[in-house]
Amino acid sequence: MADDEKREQMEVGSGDVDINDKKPDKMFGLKKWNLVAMWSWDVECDTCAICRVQVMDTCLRCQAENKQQECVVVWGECNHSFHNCCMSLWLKQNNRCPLCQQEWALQTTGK
Amino acid sequence: MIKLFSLKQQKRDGETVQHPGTRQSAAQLRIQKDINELNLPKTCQVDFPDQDDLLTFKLIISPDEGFYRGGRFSFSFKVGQGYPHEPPKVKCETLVYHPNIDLEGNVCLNILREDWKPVLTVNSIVYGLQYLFLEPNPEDPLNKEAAEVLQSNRRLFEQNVQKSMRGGYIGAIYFDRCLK
Ligand SMILES: [Zn+2]
Ligand SMILES: [Zn+2]
Ligand SMILES: [Zn+2]
Repeated sequence: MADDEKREQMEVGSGDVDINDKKPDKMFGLKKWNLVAMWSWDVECDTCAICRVQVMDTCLRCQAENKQQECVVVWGECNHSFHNCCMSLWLKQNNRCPLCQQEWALQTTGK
Repeated sequence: MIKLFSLKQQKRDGETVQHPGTRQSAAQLRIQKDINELNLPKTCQVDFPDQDDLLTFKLIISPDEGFYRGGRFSFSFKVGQGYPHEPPKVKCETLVYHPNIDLEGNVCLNILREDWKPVLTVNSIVYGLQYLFLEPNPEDPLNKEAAEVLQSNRRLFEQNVQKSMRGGYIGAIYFDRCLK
């Protein structure tokens, strides 16, 4: 009997949680617009988040101008990677990694 | 809509191989990626007046909640050759009573100005603009009168928004009807 009561309470309890869950769901929908965070998870290290081409391919600018040779990849201390072409343009405006906001420090350059 | 553009891209890629002279600029290539990957909220719609010019388009926002529910607001986007290193130029083409949009259509949204980063996309701007209609921000306003009303009397602000969207005067300014 006591056990039954307990179970019932628990069920009611979890029902309440469901109802409460619905409200925050809607309220938090707005957070979706914070895409800075989204990109840093989605893109990982394979795609240059600036031109959105894989870092192993030549960047958009070099594709558009049909240059191939000098388009190298740079990795920061933060482990984010970009085309050097794309990153050097950004670094003229701001010395932070555009994905994680850490101060940009070059770790390696490669192809 | 989105399918159409990916088809178009395939076609263009084919053309590029045949006529290397008609290659597209980096800004065009990047905007094409943005458009192909657009994931619009159901309150937003994108319209290309010229299907061959992806650098100029319109965004229509029809908020389904908040102060501006039921309204229909049009924004023009102009993407420059500096994209994505420079943000697109975005103007509101609908006269709107809003603390962060002035009567010339200039929009005060951080990611269109000082907080723009080349890792952002058209989608980020769409979400940012949508957010402005859900959460008008009385701090750092472009329309100071609207901001003051929002801060001092939310009820009056709401009434003013309703009145402006139905078409009418707020102070000396006449707002055209923009209800759907
Ligand atoms: Zn790149
Ligand atoms: Zn390059
Ligand atoms: Zn980083």
